[in-house]
Amino acid sequence: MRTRRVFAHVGLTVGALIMLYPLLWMITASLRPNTEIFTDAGLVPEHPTLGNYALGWHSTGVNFGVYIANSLIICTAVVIGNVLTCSLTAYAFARLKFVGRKTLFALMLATIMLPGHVTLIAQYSIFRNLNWIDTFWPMIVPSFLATDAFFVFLMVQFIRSIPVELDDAARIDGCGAWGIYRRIILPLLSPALVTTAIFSFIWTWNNFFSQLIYLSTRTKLTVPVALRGFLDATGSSEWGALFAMSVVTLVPVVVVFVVFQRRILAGMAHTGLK
Amino acid sequence: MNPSTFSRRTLLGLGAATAAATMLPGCSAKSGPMRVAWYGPDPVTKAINKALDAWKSNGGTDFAPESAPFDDYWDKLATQTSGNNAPDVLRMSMSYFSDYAGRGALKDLGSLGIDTSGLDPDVAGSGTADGKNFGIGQSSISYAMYVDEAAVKKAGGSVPKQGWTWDAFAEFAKDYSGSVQGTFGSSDQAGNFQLFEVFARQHGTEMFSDDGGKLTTSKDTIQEWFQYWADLRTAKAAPSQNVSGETTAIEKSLVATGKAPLQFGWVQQVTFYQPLVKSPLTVLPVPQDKAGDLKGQFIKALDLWCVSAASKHPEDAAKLIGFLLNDETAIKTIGILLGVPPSKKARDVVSAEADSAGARAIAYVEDIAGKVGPSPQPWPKGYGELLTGFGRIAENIGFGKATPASGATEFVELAGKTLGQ
Repeated sequence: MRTRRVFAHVGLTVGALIMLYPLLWMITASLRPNTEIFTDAGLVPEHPTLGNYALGWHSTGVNFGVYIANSLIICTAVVIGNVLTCSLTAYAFARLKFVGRKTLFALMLATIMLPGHVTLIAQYSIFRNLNWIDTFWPMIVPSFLATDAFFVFLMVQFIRSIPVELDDAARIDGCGAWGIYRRIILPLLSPALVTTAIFSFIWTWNNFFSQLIYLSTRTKLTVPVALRGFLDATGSSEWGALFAMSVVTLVPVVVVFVVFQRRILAGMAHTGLK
Repeated sequence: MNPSTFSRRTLLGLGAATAAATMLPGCSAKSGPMRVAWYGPDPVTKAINKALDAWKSNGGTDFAPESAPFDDYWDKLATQTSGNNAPDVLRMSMSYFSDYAGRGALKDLGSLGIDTSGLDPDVAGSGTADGKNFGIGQSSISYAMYVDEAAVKKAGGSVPKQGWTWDAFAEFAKDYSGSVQGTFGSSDQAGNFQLFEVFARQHGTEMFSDDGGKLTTSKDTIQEWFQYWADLRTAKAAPSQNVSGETTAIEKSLVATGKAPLQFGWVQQVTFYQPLVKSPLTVLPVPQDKAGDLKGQFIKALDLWCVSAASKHPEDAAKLIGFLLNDETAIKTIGILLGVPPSKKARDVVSAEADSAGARAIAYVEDIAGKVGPSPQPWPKGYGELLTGFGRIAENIGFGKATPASGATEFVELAGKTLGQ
């Protein structure tokens, strides 16, 4: 029994190391001088240096902290927007009866299946007419209009699993539609809300394309766009600086995940009838 | 959203249609300062920013700079152009020039009075399409081979100064890889469409018909090219496809890691390779059909300054382009980061300050200027697709999924479908 557990642990450790290798490699690569990065596949840098961090932080002419701050502003706003409006929309689809509910729900699902490129130009034209190009609004405002159908769908499914009896009980106690949402659904929905928050954050943090398209001024750029600036097919790429700043930008994502992940578990424990 | 699954050309085409449909009357964006957009790595961005500062301190109008790496730039520009919001002054690559010029996205610069008197004659015509001048060349460049002569001498070989034929090149590559363990005489250039254009012109025809509607190079020439590199791979004088796939970035290239004594590229790129190679890289013409006959090569501008058709500041845009082209401070600041400068005056200013690799690049262009063939028409619409298609087909041959014959047929078919649309 004991030996089996030892074997299991060894196996798991080896597996974990294999999965972690790329990440570890990136971290050690960020500590190597540019010329050493691709000549050495090992994990221990021969001439470790923090130079890449200093270089990456300053090299684009704008302090890298500015990009991180921009990304954080957008991500935070998107998380708030998605959590608030997607849950409201999901509540309406799952619980309220109104004309055209099924059609609208189907239409909403259809937007998940529409490739982004199809709507890209039309969206761009709308935002241009609103004079929102080169501002954060094109990234933020849609999230306050519950446009992310994936999260709406996720929450609709979740709300459907909450017993309707709870709503009925609340109604007897005098709650209206808003009261039921606020006092019953929202608290029970918290695991789905946390999932939405985590994914909204990570996806927005990594959402390169729309940030590339809509932002132009250096001081308004976000992390993924700035990171890509280290690479260019027509010239020499700053790999060291790229890896160093990639390590830096991983930190907020990891923090958000670790902090919120606990809440998912906590939320699970609260669900169900008492 | 993954832009690579969706061709930029489709995006641009789709956009042109929807842009018309979504334009709301009386609701156009207000015109801010003149926007200047370009692509390039960090040093290019810094240099252009500095040149723009010089423009401002010389009394130029206000501007807003935008820059992105090459690949991302085209996604953004296609969207902006379709959304009727293209930057006023923009850097245009020859690979996409006809796509934009042909769709009416660029302004005819003929009447804007940009001083182009100093431009090399080959470059002055580089931005011409349908008889109108849509772009001003940023550089005079040609294809070249950079040779690490120290490595060649160490291996007991010698590099003929007056050029060599493709046969002599193959012999050289085989000898080199035979004499130095673990090296290759050359990197595999089978998928290099731009080097192939030189090869094609050495076989008597331009690559494309004058109107850009047809591929004029014969299938046999394409097959011969693929076969040439397949033979070098078989002889181990060029690396296998696996190795080539991993050595495309400049830092990882065979010449940078000491596994090959030479590299091909546009002449100014020697300055990117030089810092990674210990001994000086000599800049030479690419191999020829007849030794010393450089008619297959040409000099033209690879990148252009253009003004978008919808620009609200055409006069200022034209003034800025003239400034970047002719002002001594701007010339000095940009140096050879955009390529070898397109005028004698600029080259003289720059070569005094350029590092040795840069000076060698400039000397190369001046040296071959009288010997090369006429420069071809701007690359046709759809060139970008052919460029990637050619590389993909060469890769398939390299992996043994296609033969040089079937690859050549496939490319001819691709060209038939892509060109003349």
